[in-house]
Amino acid sequence: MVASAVFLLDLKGKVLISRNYRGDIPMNAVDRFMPLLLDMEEEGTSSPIVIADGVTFVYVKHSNVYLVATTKRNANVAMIFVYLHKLLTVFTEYFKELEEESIRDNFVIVYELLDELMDFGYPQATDSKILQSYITQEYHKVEEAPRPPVALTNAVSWRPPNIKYKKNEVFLDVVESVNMLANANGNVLRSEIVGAVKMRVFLSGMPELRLGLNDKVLFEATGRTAGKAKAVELEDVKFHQCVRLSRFENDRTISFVPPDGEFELMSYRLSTAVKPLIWIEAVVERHSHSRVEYLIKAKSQFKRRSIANNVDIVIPVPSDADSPKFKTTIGTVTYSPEKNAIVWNIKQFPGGKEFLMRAHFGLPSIDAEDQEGRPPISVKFEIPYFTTSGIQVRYLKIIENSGYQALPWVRYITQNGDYQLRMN
Amino acid sequence: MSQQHQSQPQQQRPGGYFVDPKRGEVGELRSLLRNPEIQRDVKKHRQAVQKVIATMTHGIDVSPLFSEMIMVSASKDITLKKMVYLYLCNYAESNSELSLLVINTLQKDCRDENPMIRGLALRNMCSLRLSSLLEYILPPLKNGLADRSPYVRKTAVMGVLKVYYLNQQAILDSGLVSTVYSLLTETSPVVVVNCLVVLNEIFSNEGGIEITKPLAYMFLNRLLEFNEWAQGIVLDFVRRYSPTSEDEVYEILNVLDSRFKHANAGVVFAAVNVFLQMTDSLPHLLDDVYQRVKVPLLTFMSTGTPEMSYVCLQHLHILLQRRPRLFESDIKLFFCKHQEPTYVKLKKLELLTDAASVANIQDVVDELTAYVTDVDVEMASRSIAALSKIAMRFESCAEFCINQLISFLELDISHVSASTLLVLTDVLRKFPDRAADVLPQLSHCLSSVDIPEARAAIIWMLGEFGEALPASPYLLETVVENVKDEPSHVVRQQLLTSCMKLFFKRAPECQSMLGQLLEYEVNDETHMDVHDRALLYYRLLRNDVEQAARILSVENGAAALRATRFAEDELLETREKLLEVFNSLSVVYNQVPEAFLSQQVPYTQHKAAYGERYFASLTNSSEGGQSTHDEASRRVITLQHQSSTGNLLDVEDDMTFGLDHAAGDASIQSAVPMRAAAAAAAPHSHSLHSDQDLLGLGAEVAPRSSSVGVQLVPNATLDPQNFENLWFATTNSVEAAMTLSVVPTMAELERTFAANNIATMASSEELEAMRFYFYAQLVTGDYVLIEAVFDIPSQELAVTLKADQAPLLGEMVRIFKSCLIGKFMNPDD
Repeated sequence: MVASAVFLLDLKGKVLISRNYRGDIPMNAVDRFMPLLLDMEEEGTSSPIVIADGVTFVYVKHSNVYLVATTKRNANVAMIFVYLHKLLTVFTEYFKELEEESIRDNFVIVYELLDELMDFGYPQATDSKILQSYITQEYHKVEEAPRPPVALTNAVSWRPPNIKYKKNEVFLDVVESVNMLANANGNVLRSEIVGAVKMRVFLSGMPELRLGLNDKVLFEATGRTAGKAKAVELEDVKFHQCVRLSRFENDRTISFVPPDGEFELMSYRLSTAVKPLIWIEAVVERHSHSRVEYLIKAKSQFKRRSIANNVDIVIPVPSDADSPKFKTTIGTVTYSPEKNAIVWNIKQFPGGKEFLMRAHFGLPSIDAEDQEGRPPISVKFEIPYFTTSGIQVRYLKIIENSGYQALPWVRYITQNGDYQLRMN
Repeated sequence: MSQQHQSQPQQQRPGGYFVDPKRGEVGELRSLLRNPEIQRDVKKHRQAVQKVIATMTHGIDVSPLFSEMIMVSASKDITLKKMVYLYLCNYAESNSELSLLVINTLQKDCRDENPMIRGLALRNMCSLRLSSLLEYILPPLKNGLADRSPYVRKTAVMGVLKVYYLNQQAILDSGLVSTVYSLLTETSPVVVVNCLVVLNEIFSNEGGIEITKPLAYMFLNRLLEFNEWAQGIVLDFVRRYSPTSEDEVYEILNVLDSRFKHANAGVVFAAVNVFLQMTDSLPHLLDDVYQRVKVPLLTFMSTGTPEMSYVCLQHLHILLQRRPRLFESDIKLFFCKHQEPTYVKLKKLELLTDAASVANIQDVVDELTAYVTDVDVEMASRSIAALSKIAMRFESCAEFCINQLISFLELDISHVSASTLLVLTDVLRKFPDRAADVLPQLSHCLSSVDIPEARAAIIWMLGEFGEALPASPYLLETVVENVKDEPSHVVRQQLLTSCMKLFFKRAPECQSMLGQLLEYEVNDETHMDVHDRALLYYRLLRNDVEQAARILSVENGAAALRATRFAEDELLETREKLLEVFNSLSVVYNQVPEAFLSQQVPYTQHKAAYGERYFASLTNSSEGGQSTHDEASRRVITLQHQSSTGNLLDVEDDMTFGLDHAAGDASIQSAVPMRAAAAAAAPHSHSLHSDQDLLGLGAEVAPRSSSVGVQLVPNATLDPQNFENLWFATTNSVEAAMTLSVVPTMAELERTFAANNIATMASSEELEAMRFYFYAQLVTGDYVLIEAVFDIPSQELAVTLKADQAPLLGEMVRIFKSCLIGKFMNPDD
């Protein structure tokens, strides 16, 4: 790991706030960063890692802020990126929005955080829930100066003890994003499901949670026949650090002491081929120098009972197209010239249906100078009460010493990830 | 900067209109800090100090407030303290005497009953970077290590390292290192991991602290206690442990397998690294290990942030290097997403190209084809280059790839056609029989493409393969007719060579246009280089048409193409080494750590760096000799690389041309008197270089293929010991046999080869045979070693050639033979 210093820069490369951890690189080295970045952009060789005079800059850009870590060593680059993104998360949880203004407004807190998050270039405590218990925006009274929370130095570093809620509740969201790429001939090139189990935990004390899923490996191991409900093969699973991974390895039990509040418990990826949930067929007729016509067919290929909400079908059009005309049986179509695209919005798209839309544009009689690329059609959607993989929460057991009753709430949502269809 | 303003007492000029704003600000702050009313009210006091910090953050020097700020440090308020300490760390170095005043407060705070304050004071005390304060820091540091609060202990441990960099001897003498050592086994995981970090850095000269079996097992057993960052550090430490048996390896890997499910990519990378290092010497496990570790990396690659994708791709590339078929079934994960940043797309493109195999080639080619119409021009041209690479790598799929390439010409997108034409020149040299399919497209391209290099490529193909298309002379004719208006000399020069070549193939159709072209070029050409070339051709033709035909109609350059040493080959060797430094910046830079950690020039991308090294090797190799020949060869070398940059040099470029071995003919020298003098100064220069030029591929036309690999350095030196080592170390060899027409003497043979830059290492006469060891050095610095045995009764010469770069060997055999032809050997042999 070992970062020499961490900088927050504005878009022009001016330092908003910096923290020199090791003092082995002059702080003005950062002045080289932005010119270098611009040069590389110009040459088309941009990269998230740049080096000048043996000083490596690893950076992440977020809204109008650059987060930059510097090092002179052959550092562990993956870890630095994870750390920078962690910084983003911590700042965002503190200030809601991480941008130049929020940093300027909260610079004292930012300094305090930078001091606590890292020591001499090594990450220390980065859990924003724990940090918030002793670094706050409110003024403490002098006599109540905060003490280091035990979680800071304990094995359970993500949850402070003695949390109290009147009503003990757990919300569990299973969110699946479908990534799909189809080529112009209508063949699916790749499709994958990226799922996440997100939790919002409002539980008192130090509860022990156990989550049961319709995990195929578990079902097979216990000799249980899945019956009607199918079991799902979870191959590529990643867990939050609170989950006892060795336990999962042994008997596939997902057991953990959860952090307080919102967090992502686990994520998984399935690259099994699935039928595209929303399929688009586009017929484009170009009459160069006069007009271009689109016939778009949208088909929903999921269960009739389910409904996709807020479907946005974004169809790219030539940048010099003009005088748009649309005709559709459902939804609304808008032309957004700034994106060079038409957006067909369908508020509610039931399963097993098919809708049509026609669009007509005029084209100028003179060709544009630049050759345009052909961006793909993209689709946004959200289908509640439904998961593509068929994953199901069988139970969520909550055990706490005081023996309170807690209510688990479970929701399922399927939505689009990178959902793109290339056009001819 | 505002320090000098501050030397005037601020109070004298209270807030006038014409006060320097910065000076005014600092003065205002000072009066705020001194105001007793504000000091009494914590809230107001905080606001005042906050203003100081804000000013500091804006880059304004507030160091003149040092003494006021020291006063504030006595406050009991923790927020105030934090701000003051921050201020002190920023300005302590520039106010070392005043800093002494603060040590009192810091020492007091180190004894505070609140561990937060003790930790804070200790952390900042060690961060002051003032060696003058050392004697005051050591005692609290020692107490800190024994503090009952783990928060203070972990801070103190890190403090030891900070002070170590301030004064190494003081720390080594203090005995604190052994205290830190003893804390390695304590209960709080954060303290333990900081100890590990500190000891590893202190003993970094010995590669970190020694890892013993009990220590490794202690960390493995406690792994789950550590937070995500600490796990990464611990795994990196465990990686250095060498298990005593294979069973132990299994045991450790089994424990670590669960780490692949961790959501922190840093932890996963560290675990992958342990897997790779521990199984490196167990080849039978490698296949399984690679299959195992690729899964989590692929997941981060396809679902992580763009930055993480990029890092993963670089690391996956290293794995691919070792196991070329590792991603045979995962190839679709490398398909680009539309909104990805270019750096990810370009890297994916590389992996797509390198991970292509016969099993997935169709998918790869289809996908690359889709990128050709991408908005990004760079992406399009790299995709086209990738396709040509695949075509050349998989001969079975070449047909398919070439068809795709040809179809791009029909798209009628200017930059796509241009890139395609450029790669087609390479492809056709390898697959000349496909010329018949390409050529019909050219007439259309010639009228639509306006990039000079691409036009030159079209003309090159027409000259080289013109016989495959009836219309080719007429295509050239239209260009010849408009040659006056042709802006690029690159195109004009290529036009000359191509017309000459085609003339020898289809004389009746070309004669008049060649005459027309030569006339124009000799009389009206303003570019010296092109003019001289025209003059040379003209005189060649006038002197002896047969001879001219022989010079120009060299069989086309498939062999030359294979002989090229690609920069990528060098990259491959580096990547091999990179596995040892997996999970580091090295992998991202594609360089061994030494290469970038010390470098002083701005680094942009590996290509540039390679270019530089390439240059360096060129100059080095020509620095070997001191003779005038060498001077000449050096000039030649520089030329090849600065192709078409300046007129001054272009004159000399032609000189090389004049130095052709076949052109030893006096008529040429008389035709080009100016160059003859130069030629005399370098009587035997690089036959091959000029040979290449004769292929019609002047460096200016297609710099990619201007092969340096086949140029021999004059006066190469190699001592016998190195020769022997090289001979046994080199495995790439080729054997050739030839029959000589006469029985030469040993000295005769040696002289002949010496004249062609092939030096003799040793020779011996045997009963009915002669044995020679020759060597030659290429401009790349590589050596070619030759063993030749001449059997006197049969007049058979058996030759074994060895070189690091296998592709060079074929070319070398040709050179070797060409030395013998004429004097000792019949040309038709």
